Amino acid sequence: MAEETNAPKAAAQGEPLLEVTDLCKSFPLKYGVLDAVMRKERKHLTAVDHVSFSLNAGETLGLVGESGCGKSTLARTVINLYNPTGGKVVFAGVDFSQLSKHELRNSCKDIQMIFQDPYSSLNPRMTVRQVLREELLHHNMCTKAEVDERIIELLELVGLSEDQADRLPSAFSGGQRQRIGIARALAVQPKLIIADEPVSALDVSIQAQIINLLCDLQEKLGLSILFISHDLRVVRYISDRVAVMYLGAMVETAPTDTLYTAPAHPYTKVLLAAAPSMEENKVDDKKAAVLGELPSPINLPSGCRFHPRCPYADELCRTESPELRCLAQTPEGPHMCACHHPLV
Amino acid sequence: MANILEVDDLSMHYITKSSTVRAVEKVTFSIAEGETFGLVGESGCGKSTTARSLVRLLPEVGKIVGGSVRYKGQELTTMSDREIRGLRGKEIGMIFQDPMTSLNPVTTVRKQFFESLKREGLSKKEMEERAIELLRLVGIPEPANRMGNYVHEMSGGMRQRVMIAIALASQPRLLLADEPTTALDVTIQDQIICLLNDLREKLGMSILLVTHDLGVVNEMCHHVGVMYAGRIVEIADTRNLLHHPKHPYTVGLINSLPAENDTRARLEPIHGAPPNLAHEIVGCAFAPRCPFADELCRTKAPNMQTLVGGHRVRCHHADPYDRTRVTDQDRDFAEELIASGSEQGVNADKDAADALTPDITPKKKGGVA
Repeated sequence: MAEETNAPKAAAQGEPLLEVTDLCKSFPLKYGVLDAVMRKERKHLTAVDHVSFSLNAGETLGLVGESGCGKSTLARTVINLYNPTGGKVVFAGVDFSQLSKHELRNSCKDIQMIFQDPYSSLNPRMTVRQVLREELLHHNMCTKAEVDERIIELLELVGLSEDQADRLPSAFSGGQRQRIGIARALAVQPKLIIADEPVSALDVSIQAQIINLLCDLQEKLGLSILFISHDLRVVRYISDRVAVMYLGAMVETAPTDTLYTAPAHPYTKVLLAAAPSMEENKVDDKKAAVLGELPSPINLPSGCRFHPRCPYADELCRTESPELRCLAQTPEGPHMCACHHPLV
Repeated sequence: MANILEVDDLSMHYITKSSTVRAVEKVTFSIAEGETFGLVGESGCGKSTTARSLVRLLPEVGKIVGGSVRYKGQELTTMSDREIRGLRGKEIGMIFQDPMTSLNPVTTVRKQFFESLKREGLSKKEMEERAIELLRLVGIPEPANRMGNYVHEMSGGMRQRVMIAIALASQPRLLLADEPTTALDVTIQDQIICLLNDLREKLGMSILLVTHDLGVVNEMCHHVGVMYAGRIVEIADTRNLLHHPKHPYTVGLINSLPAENDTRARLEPIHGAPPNLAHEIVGCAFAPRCPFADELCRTKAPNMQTLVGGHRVRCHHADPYDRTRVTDQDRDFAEELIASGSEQGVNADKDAADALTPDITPKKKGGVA
């Protein structure tokens, strides 16, 4: 199959496919004439604040956090849908900040996104065949003669049949639309897929179909996946490593099993405890229910950004912001945590 | 315990000129006093519609075509509009998934409280005090300052709390909660679950919880009904349902979720998609997607049958053993149940179930966060 050539080659053994260092993205807030007259300070919303992480070839990194913590903004900044305010993205040895617009577009082809709501990301007036044809021809993935064959190949890859190719997106169910979104992402033979809440809008039975599909495709095509979700259970299932974000910053990254069995950051711990569980014995032991709600990202708390809600916070946490540092090195990767008082 | 609500063979169809959508078909369940009953299922299975049908909050085309709903012995399906309006929001409170659409965006929290409290015949000062007390009950900090706020000035979790507080203003005996935590983040969801459990205990009310999340069911409900294509396919106490499901659909739902202990076991999705309710369904509604379906399933609709331990299931092939991922411990439990349960009568099983599984009370969680 043509896809097999797609296996990561640029990233040498041990070299990460994607390396993000100190990436920042802030959005300026509205600054009116009156504000200028009053000499008010210009305010910014810091959506992504000095985030660093790396992703190896063939690996799945799960990114979790509550709504508004900057997961999606991070993903969009990585592929330059938003211009980063600071920091560096190196993909397959190429530094994105050094590239011209045209070169960037070419490099970004190797990173494809899958979105939460496939219906709003598909043109309602284009049939599946048209969507895929446009994608294939625009990126010169194949000649016009081969295009039909390639479309059928792609549809079969995601579990759709050829006779569905001439239908409009409205004729498909949610799960099928997500399959079309995946087929479109795979059309350009990417090395990395960024999946932004790909199963959140789907019912559980359909969700399982899509998750299985992603796992199979990863195995078959050697893809790397950045899997963004707020569903801790799904992330645990699909990821090799997991990164937890809180208010724009990475607070903990660790191999999946380590993170779920021995979380080091108090936020990770409450997040895991808060997730509703079907276990029988997850009972009376008073749950570490987290107090309060997410503070505004416009006025970040001083020191550690989690301190107002943290049961372990002390003076140090209120004044000094903790760095993300390595707690332990495991064969599957380092266990990093940004906390003055890690739990392990 | 007496039943506060008894629903018997309730059917609700959306009848338009061109089609009839059988959204709710012969739904039967009951809610005991002080109990939380859960209705779970995937989108479009009729769980919300069932909740709305109970209090007849239906669009013009929605018609109750059969069955009965008895609230404290009163028949709701034949009650006059005026009478049922007296029950809604008073004896039977309601909270919905999205507080932004069910709260009024152009009036303050105070006004919305007063609207609900006016019927109690309180003075302004009393109403104000009452409202502040309710806001404190649902865990809103500085409740007095919040009274003058508009809904958009509050966060999602806060809005949900305000909606719960307003629903509680008239001291309902039954709370219909339609996906109350679905739009919220897990940490806030956890706080709202704790809050609802706490309030149920404190005020002794009953809750009908509509949700798609089996985790939430586990943390809130005593009994659960699983809905598929407008029908209840399985009813049992929470522990039995989640750990010893009998209907292939329930089994499929549970197997679709990544297991919590064995995280690498491959997911087993249910193949296909739910049926279109505008077409008449012959045989078992789940048969086209069911791995165990045979000729009988495709031709004859199964009736609800009662198994040992008070488990009720609508399936021709409900065997006493599990088809889910079972541990040895689970299997022992099932065998023990069968050994001690013997043959039970159709309806005399509830007490027996309670006796057999004494620890079915739902997980008590920490106090209000």
